[in-house]
Amino acid sequence: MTKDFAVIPFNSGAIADKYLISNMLGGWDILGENDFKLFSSLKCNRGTPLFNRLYERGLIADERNFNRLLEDHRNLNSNLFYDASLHIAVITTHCNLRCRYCQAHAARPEHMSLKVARRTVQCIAERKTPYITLEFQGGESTLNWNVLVFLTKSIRKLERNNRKIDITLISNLTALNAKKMQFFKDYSVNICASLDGPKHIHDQNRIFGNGKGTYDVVIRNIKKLRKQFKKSVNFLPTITKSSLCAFKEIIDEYVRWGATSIALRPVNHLGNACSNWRNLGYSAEEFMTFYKNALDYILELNKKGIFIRERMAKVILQKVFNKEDPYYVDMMSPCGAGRGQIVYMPDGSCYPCDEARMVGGKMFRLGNILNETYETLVKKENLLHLLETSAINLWDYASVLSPWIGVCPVLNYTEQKNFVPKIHCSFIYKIHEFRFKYIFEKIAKGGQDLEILKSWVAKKEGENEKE
Amino acid sequence: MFQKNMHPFLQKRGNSFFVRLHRKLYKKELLVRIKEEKPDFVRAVMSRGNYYLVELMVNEETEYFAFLNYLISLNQEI
Repeated sequence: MTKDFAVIPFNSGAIADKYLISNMLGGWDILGENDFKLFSSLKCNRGTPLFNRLYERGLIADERNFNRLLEDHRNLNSNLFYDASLHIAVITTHCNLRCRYCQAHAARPEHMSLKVARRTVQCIAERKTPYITLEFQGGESTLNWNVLVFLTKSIRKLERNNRKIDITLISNLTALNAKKMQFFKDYSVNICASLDGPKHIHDQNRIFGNGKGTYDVVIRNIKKLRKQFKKSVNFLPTITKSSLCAFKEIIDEYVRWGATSIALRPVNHLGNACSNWRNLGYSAEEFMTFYKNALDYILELNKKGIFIRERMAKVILQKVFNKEDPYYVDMMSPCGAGRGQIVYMPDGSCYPCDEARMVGGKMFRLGNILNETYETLVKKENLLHLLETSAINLWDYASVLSPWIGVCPVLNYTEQKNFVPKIHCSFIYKIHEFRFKYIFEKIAKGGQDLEILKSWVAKKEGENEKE
Repeated sequence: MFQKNMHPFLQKRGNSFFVRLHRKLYKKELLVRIKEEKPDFVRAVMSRGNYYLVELMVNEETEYFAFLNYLISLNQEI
């Protein structure tokens, strides 16, 4: 007798004495041993409780639910259907700080000219996407004030065409004055500041040219932005070797300043960090231990009624529970380089992603917007090769995490000097993989931790959050 | 970072667990301290090219993480 349903091809992996199964459409479940044996031997008959459960979870398909499953797949990978939405403008490579782990240090710093800025606006305006994020990065962007003002005002005008525009400034917050703060308020510029933790951690690495720490200035400006200008500030820590033991102190510092989210990300082995690696760096396993400790502590705080989320966990949970695309370019397959984001440098040259511009050189450079069209740039062979090498199914084809996880070809290349990565030796991939597995362990164990994790991505009516 | 001789950090051979610690990240002094301070945790420390190979006496994942926590704090002291 022929069956009127099909089990969608799946991968499986052991998680906390159970089995996680997933398929390419984003359907997944965690099964006990007996159920897993039944399912994997395809002895699952229609009408049984196991069948109904797996049917509901998108692991079994028939004519009735197939359209829903395709819709889920499109939602989970909606980045594949739109033009680049994240536009990073590096308007200067000058910086007033000398951070020990600086990944964007330029040998010959320069400002973006208005000519390049005008062309950047044109490139962004032509994109066929309903959402656009312009992100100012540096150097320290506020040092090239005229261009920052020009770009902000010009991009805001694009809102008239029914597009949602977000403008974000990544800043060290040490070169601000009242006039600049007022401008950010008037033009709704989101501010994201680097804050590595309490003073003794922050000041170890984030320093002025004279070696003095920046913590006091940063905090003073955060207070000023909040109090005088009613402007909220998001923070971003970089985890270095000295932060690994201090997970509680770092999280407590974020709670102290009212943060509801913290992104625990490792320091990259790029730029100045390379020469200081012995003092700053660690193995992926050490970071994984840090992440485990930190996530457990965050969950403990949530149990006490203190609401704070870990951002990477949130990205994972959005994909897993909500089957929605958080547009996090590092966790797309193929990655978001050149597709989801593009970087404009001060001289007009373009790179496909932030990491690629930090590496610099010709290998990842797409060309220059002053003498080439945007369409020509994103059809360059080096970008196509880069995207090819970021397809997770090439390197870890049997991974149970393949519907959600991504590969960063630039970081893999800089680490292994090869576009064909030994994926299970990749620093960043090991960390991504661990994050997923640890969260799935929490899901498999259930209880209060699971309820808290679910609440981080629960959709509330009218909620339109952007971090 | 580690272009040559890349190996998984944790390896299992028979009943033994081994961790590989790269010389660029871990000083020799750290290995000496591990041997002194954790004789119940560490069976042997060997030198293999760019790596130190540490044979652990751990049974469960919790013990493995306990070792990593110990490694992190020790690595900051040195």
